[in-house]
Amino acid sequence: MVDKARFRFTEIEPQLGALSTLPYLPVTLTYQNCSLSASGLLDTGSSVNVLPYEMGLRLGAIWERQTLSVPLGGNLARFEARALVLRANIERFPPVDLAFAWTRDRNAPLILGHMNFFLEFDVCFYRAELLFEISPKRRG
Amino acid sequence: MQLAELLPHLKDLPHADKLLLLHFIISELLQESGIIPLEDQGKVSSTNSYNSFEAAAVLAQALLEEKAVKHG
Repeated sequence: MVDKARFRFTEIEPQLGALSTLPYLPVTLTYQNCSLSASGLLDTGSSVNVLPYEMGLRLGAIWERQTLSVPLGGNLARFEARALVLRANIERFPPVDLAFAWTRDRNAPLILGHMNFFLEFDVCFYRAELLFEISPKRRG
Repeated sequence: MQLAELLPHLKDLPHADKLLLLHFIISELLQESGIIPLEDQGKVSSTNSYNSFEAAAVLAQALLEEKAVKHG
């Protein structure tokens, strides 16, 4: 079994080069029988995972059927959010369930935060080398 | 489709749709130029889900419910 995977930071502004790099993780999200590939920002400051509205729709999720309301802070507080649990495949790791605050904000990025991405994976950042490494949590 | 073919159709659009089309074209031009619209400026940096501990508790509940559904 693969226990670690390394990824390069992603350059956001080519003109700024390494100054604009961020840790985006390629992930395949699945809801029921529908999947999509995306890049999620690893955000150690975020309490929760955040799913943009359009992405939820593309996965076939129906807003009205999600019953748990999620109270977000900051600018995201202006938009309603509901809990949505998705299956996530990362590299060749075993798939995990990730719970997202599915926000109606169409401009929100896909965020991977503490609840529960960082509960499922350990992450090491090697920012000077523009690399990060993730491994699934050890199950005892 | 050529613009000449499109124009007659555009003329037939209702007023509201013409305004929406104008908005769409402006958005496209801004995006192609790499310019962030005024209403979106500062949005990314201030968009956050920090200190949303209550939200984290709700997601924990959602995961438990999902687990119960899957495993009974």
